[in-house]
Amino acid sequence: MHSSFSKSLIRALLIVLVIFGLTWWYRHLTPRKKQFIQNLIRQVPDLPLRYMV
Amino acid sequence: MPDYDVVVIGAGLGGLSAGALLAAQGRRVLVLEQSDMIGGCCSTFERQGYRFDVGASIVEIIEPVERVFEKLGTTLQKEVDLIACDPIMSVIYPDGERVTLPLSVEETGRIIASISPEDGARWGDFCAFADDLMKVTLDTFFQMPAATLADMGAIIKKNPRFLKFMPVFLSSYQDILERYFKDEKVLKMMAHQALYFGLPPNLVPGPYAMVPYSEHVGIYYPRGGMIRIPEALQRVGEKFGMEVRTGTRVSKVLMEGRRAIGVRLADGSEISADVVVSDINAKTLYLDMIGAEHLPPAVVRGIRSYKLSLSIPMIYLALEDSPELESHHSVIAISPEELNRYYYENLLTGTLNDEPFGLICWPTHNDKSLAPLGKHVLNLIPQGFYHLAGTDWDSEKPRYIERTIEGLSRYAIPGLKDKVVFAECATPLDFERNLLLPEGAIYCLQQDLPAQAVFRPASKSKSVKGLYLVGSSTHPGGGVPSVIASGYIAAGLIEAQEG
Repeated sequence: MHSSFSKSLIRALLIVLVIFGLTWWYRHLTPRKKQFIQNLIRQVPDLPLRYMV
Repeated sequence: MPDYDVVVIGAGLGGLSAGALLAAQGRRVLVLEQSDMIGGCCSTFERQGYRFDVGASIVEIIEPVERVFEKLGTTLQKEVDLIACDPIMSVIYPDGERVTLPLSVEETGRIIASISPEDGARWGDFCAFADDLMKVTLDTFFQMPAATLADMGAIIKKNPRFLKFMPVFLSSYQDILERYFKDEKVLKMMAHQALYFGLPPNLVPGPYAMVPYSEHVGIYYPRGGMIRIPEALQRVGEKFGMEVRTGTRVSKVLMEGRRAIGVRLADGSEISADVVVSDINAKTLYLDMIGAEHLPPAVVRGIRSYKLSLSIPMIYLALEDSPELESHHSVIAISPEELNRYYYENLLTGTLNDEPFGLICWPTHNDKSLAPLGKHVLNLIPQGFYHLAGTDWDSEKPRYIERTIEGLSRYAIPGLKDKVVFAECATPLDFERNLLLPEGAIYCLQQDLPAQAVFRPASKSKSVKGLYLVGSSTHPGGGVPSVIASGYIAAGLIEAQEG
């Protein structure tokens, strides 16, 4: 029980760290690099469909 | 028995290379072209004794082109009289200064060093990076399909060094350039090539940044005009029995269940075939010629999700005298940031920019046969786009020609307007009407990362049996070597999978 709680806590901390890291990384990008990333993210929902074409 | 083993829709470079290679495999091949001319964007037309190239202006990265001719039992050099262009380009700055870049990598490095010693020192590193990347892509992307994860696995297995360049795909053209070069004037020499891919430098995938180097490996002009390449493919293909019919428009792909079984022509007649090869825009193919009713709904949504590539206007000038230029290609210097601004502030709002910029092609610099004695030809590829705010291209065309000539005469080509015998213009609307390119999209579909490799319409259709794609719509994308490579890839797939 105790071990399971610790594992969940570590997992949650890791997720928070990753989200924090990505946010920090994104905030420090140049506007042009942000446009590159935004262009990719905007099309992510289309990728599974495009893979089928 | 079907009328033909293979029917090819479109006699562009992709269609002709696939057709010729399939004929060489012993198949009965018919190529159907709606226009009276072959070649699509890689073609040449004549007016009053002057010959103008429709779109494509040179060939670079010729290895995929050579590979097709070798597979056909001949050589590119034997079939096409290629003129090596040196110098490769002049860069014209707004203050009138010009920098002419020779073919020699070393000499170019010295020129860059004279502008910025730091950037000159990095030129060698950039060339080493680009050369390595070019060799890896020529060994993989230009020969192999990239439609599935298995295909990507095969690419990595063939050349594990491909993995080394994976991070480059997550960078932009601008990222790569700015990693090596800092000086604004130097960056202005290399930014415009991003437009060869129809996007601003901050959206073009990083691997394309090899182009400012690959031009130094060699750029060539076919004597007699760009049409000499499709003509050579047709000539060699016909030796193997390939038939080409121009002025023949296909209206439908005939379907039996989920299998393509031939085509219906605009006159209502039908031609049956075991295999259909499409060299037209994939959106037109799937949505109009096949029809959503024959496709899984997810595929229809996938096809609809693609954005069309950039379109361009072309201005063709007959000149009574030599223009004040130094090389086959000249470019108005423009920085990556200026190009990005043009994309976001002009293109996306439909507002044409005041000062013309783009590529100036002077084919008579190398090939005097294109014009009457002492006269010259100039093909301008200024920037423009399909959707204009508050007007349309038919209304805008005369003003656009006048404004472009006037603008270039100011500092780029002094005295140009006084030398013009006549001018013609093919607008994005004309490309749509004459070449059936939706919205005049010269590369068919946008070429950003989410529309590349496994996410670009597959060379072997995943939803229609017996259907293969070539040309800019499919892998590896737009440009002379790429579309010829698409024909090579499709012919290889058909040989392996259709018996």
